[in-house]
Amino acid sequence: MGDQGQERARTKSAQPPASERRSCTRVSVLLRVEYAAREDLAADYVTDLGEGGLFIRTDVELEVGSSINVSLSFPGLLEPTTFEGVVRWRRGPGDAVTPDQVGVGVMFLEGRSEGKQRVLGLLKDLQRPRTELKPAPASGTFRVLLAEDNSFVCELFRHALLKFQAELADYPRHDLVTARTGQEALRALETGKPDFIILDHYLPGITGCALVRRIRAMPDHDGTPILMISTGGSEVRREALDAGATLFMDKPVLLTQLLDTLRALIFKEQACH
Amino acid sequence: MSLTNTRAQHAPKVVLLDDSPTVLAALRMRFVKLGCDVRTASDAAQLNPDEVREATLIVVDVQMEQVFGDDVVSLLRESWNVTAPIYLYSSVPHEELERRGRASGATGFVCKADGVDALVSGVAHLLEKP
Repeated sequence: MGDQGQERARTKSAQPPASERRSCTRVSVLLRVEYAAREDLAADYVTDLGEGGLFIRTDVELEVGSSINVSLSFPGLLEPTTFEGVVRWRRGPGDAVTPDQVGVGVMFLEGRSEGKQRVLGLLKDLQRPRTELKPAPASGTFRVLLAEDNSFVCELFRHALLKFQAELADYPRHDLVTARTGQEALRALETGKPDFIILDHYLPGITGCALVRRIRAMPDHDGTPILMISTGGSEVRREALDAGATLFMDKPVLLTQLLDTLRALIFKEQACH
Repeated sequence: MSLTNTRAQHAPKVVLLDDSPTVLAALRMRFVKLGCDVRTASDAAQLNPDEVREATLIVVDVQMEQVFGDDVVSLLRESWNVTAPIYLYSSVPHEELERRGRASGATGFVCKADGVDALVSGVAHLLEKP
């Protein structure tokens, strides 16, 4: 293929078809993605979910037009659910996008497979008007533990959660406990039970990955969602996921994506009551 | 955050945040030449709230190692109550940069691809002495 042909192919696959962009109502949510029969690939994550398909943030060079079997999951949101889809488009690092936009658009196959229906059921839950949901008991508190040694990142998370709390004034309180070291995080876990844990990998003392292993060995916290964030790239990513982290995200993290997922967890909890 | 020019007490104060030492050095040189009191930070954790509030102009990169610059701008506006003009200066594509600038409360944005000259000419009016 000549340069022009390559350029056309790249451009064609770099963006979702315009018709799909118009027709799909999407929600922002983080879900763990595992590739069926591809144990060589580390888990990736979904950032957007719609009626027609989803966006997987991945560095894997999945071929446009190929079929893939993926399993989606997230503690508290979705039990592991497998479905088959087709890669419709791909954005690579050379497509003038930011790193968080690198990945593939996957379209659900036609039909009503059980996996697809469960994923669409989650989408329906996430799209429910909040007015349909009952306020939680006043004593309810949604606790987030953040282990991070960068003071500004801590402040940014706290600021984002405060805005989030103001937005959901009728719903459970959200407490952010911050730890600057791995030891501080362990102490916080001995005295409290967070609903969501965010760990930086490069912490003084104990690394984030070592912390994940310690946390997963604690009966009280073995099912708690753990988001590992790091600048360490693929090596840390693999270690974090092997240790038991739910998701790994490269720094910097888009706070809106994280807050959308916390919101989804809270509303899902509300919907179950 | 390091003080790099103290020659004029009433010189316009410019705060630069970028994780690239090369970009910081290039911007610092230009703004010092314009007579500004320039402070640089390679990590948002080095920002001092009081100094940022007193700034005449703040220039923030978007794609940094620890945080996104537009999230920094939101925090400066909403939590630190910074009213000074804040410009995003980034290699993020133009359309994306414009969207993120608007959403965060930035005053304006300049693409790094357009060079330091574009940034300087875009903010020159802010640095003129009354």
